[in-house]
Amino acid sequence: MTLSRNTVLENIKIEKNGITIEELPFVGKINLRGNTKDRDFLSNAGSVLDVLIPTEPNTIITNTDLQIIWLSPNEWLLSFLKNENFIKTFNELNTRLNPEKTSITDISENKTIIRIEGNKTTELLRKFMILNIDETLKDNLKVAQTIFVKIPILITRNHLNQEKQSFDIYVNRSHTTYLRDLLLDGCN
Amino acid sequence: MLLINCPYCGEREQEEFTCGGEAHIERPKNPPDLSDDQWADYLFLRQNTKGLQYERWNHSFGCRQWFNVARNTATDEILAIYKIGEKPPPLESNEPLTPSGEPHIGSGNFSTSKK
Ligand SMILES: [Zn+2]
Repeated sequence: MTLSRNTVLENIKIEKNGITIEELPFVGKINLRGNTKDRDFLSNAGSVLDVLIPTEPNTIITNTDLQIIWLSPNEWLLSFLKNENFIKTFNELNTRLNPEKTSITDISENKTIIRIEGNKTTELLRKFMILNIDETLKDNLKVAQTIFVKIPILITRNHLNQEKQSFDIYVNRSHTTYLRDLLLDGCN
Repeated sequence: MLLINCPYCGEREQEEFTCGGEAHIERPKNPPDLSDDQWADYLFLRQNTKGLQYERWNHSFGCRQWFNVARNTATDEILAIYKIGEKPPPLESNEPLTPSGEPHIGSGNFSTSKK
């Protein structure tokens, strides 16, 4: 298993009117499913990841650039941002978790991540999104699965204070150029 | 547009959801014993209530979970939201009236047909 895949966008970092739009280079991702009422699942997953998986909706728990993102009551996305333990963690999860009661899927190539930064990012996103960003993403490490115009996306909030706004948008590879073009248009 | 309070994610716009039709329809326990009419009834025939209706909804662009909604189909007011497997809350006693006062089932629409 090798971790490499080209980015979708040729020009991966663009700045326009104080907003930076950047596609993150390849990030390993695992989709993890299991029952939170199953104590073995919780404790084994917790010991492999070195942190308890989040059970509160729309939240993220991080551990040295590994983000564990809540997707649904029995599903999480492990996003290995700058974290090199992808293969090790993937194998350990497969060894430790009961295969009959859990599912561990490498979905690294499924989506790419677009990071948007700048102090008017929320304003920009509001042009395209029906999500109540101020309410749903009111703190850092909050996440929402929603739509951007008509595109299904997952959006996470990275910033603590409003002066340095930063969001990561997980988007299907085939929708990436469209998303980038719309964002650039919105910067005008 | 409706604002729907997903039992997991909280309040979101209707555009993120898909309606799955009438709720609490039980699959017959003995399909081979049913007549074609009874089977068709289970598969296709719905109340199409005007007024209080129990529906299934799916948060398809969010957490992808199914849940139940009690909605007044005449006014679009959402009266209750509860998880799959839970019993519908007792709403029958104060069932909402349709704005024109017509019965809930099988009436067509009085206000239009009068014209
Ligand atoms: Zn939801």
